[in-house]
Amino acid sequence: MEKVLNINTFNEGTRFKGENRRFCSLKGQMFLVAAILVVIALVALKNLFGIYATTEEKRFGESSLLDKQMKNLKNEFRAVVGVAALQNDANVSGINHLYNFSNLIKSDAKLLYVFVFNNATSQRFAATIGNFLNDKINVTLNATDSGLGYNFVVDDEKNITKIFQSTINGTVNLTFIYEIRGENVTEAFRITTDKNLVFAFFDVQLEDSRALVRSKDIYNWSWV
Amino acid sequence: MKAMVPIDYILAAGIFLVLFAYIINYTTSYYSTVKDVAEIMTLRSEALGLLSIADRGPEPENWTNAPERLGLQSYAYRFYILVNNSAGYRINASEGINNIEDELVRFNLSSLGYTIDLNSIAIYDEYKNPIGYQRNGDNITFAVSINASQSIFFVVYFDDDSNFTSSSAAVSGSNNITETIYPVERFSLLQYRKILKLNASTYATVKGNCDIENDFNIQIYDTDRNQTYVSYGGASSRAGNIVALSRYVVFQNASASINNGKLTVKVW
Amino acid sequence: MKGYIYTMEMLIAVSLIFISLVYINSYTPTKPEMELSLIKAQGFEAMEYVDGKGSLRTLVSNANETGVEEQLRAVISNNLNFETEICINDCTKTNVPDNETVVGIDYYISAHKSNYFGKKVRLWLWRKF
Repeated sequence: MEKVLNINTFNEGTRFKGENRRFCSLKGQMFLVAAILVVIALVALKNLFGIYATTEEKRFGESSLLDKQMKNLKNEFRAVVGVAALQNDANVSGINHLYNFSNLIKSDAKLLYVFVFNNATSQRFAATIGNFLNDKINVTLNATDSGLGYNFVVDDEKNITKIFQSTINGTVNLTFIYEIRGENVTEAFRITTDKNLVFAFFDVQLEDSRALVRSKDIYNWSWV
Repeated sequence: MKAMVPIDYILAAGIFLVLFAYIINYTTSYYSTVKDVAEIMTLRSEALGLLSIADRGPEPENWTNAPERLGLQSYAYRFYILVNNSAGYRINASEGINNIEDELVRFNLSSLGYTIDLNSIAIYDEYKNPIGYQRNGDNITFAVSINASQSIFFVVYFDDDSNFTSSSAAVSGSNNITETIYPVERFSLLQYRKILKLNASTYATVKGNCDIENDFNIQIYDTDRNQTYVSYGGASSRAGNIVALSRYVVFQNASASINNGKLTVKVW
Repeated sequence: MKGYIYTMEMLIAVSLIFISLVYINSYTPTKPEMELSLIKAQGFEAMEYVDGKGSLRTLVSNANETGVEEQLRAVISNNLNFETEICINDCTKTNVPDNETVVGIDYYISAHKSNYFGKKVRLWLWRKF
């Protein structure tokens, strides 16, 4: 009888005296305490995921690619102008080739260019504005020392050519002002007119979902 | 009375310890993998930054002890010269068309419209063989052999912000043909002056000034001659993570010649 | 019956830990997809190099796609496959797989010596394995 009582009172704790009391201090709650400590440690370790902050790295990679594309386009525009200088009719060649090349790249870039051909023999120069900015622009074109100025609109994917008289002293200051979506931009160029010359100004913009790169460049080549 | 053995408690504790050990093992290996991957990504990010020295110049451009940002890129220029030994190009049309052993090709650097380092001229034929030239002031002359009715292109390279010593040598011949000079093109390369300056600098100073956390090595390998042209930086570690990236580049050497190479960057 | 209470408490504790693990791992950030940007950059750098050494322009002016690919094979890493097309607007995708992740870059070549031709080299790249 006593033995049965002893077995039944194993988990009853201190209610009964006797040798069984030393086993009654064991608690199952220590498992829960240990579990809570482990969970706290795991939550603290979760902060280690901050080391994956490399979205900046991806943006750096993609903007580097835009830089490379921009270099490619700038070099090719320079090549187009250079090749025009070798043709019999440098002005027509430059106008056509620049337009065709701009058409080729327009899906990748927004572009505005000014192409000037100076004919030293006839003492006249032609300035062509090419617009691939996805919007029309209002242009004011003045050649100081030449006494001539023009105001006109260039629609998107169009070019317009204006003729100026070269100056006696061999240099013309050409001012190009354009207005697009309410914003005015002024560019000024110095054109030498004592030799045959091709001159070009490019304003190229490349954009993707994360970055925008814009660059302006000038190229000129003269010959006797 | 015999003591009672708490079998169910021991069993529960045993199972808990086994599962606890499994969780610790899983968590430890998972996070050590994350840590390892993150370390490699950091190394790669730094290696990519170093590899882009082929795309940009140093900052500031005229650094003295060490730059704040590494860079070896510069722009150089080239243009073609066409020598055409046919009617219409002969200076003296009455002479007729014949083979010429030593046709003198002349051009003036000032007429190109660029600021040119006069000693940076490098001339090559169509097969990329270097051609010697003579320089008098800013007039360049070189001699070529050309057959009747033949036309040959030569390419002339020059730099605008380098500092080479003269490699001019006397040439002789006669000028019978009017050459055609093509418009100048611009292209990108690793500039000799910048390579030399970096190679002469102190690695530890450069590393500190550029805020480069890890050790690195920059190597330019000359693929034309199959030899290392420049190796700058530390020796790579024998243990641990090393990230190596490479790309092919065009570089200038001490004699202003244009060479093909491979840029390799190691970070550890 | 009461002897199973320890076991139940242990199971509750273990379940608590596992639920926490599942919750924490559900927010595990993934690495950003850098590999495609790197492949693009590698392709562009290869084109820049072949252009810089003076070969690309001649090959494009002669519409020599095989020559372009030979030049690129020497510089593009061996774990990438690629295909090139010299084109203007309509670039065909011959030999480009449909069941792979493919990146494409356009490298423009406008002129060479005294000739304008206004073309682009479209380069497709994808991993071999």
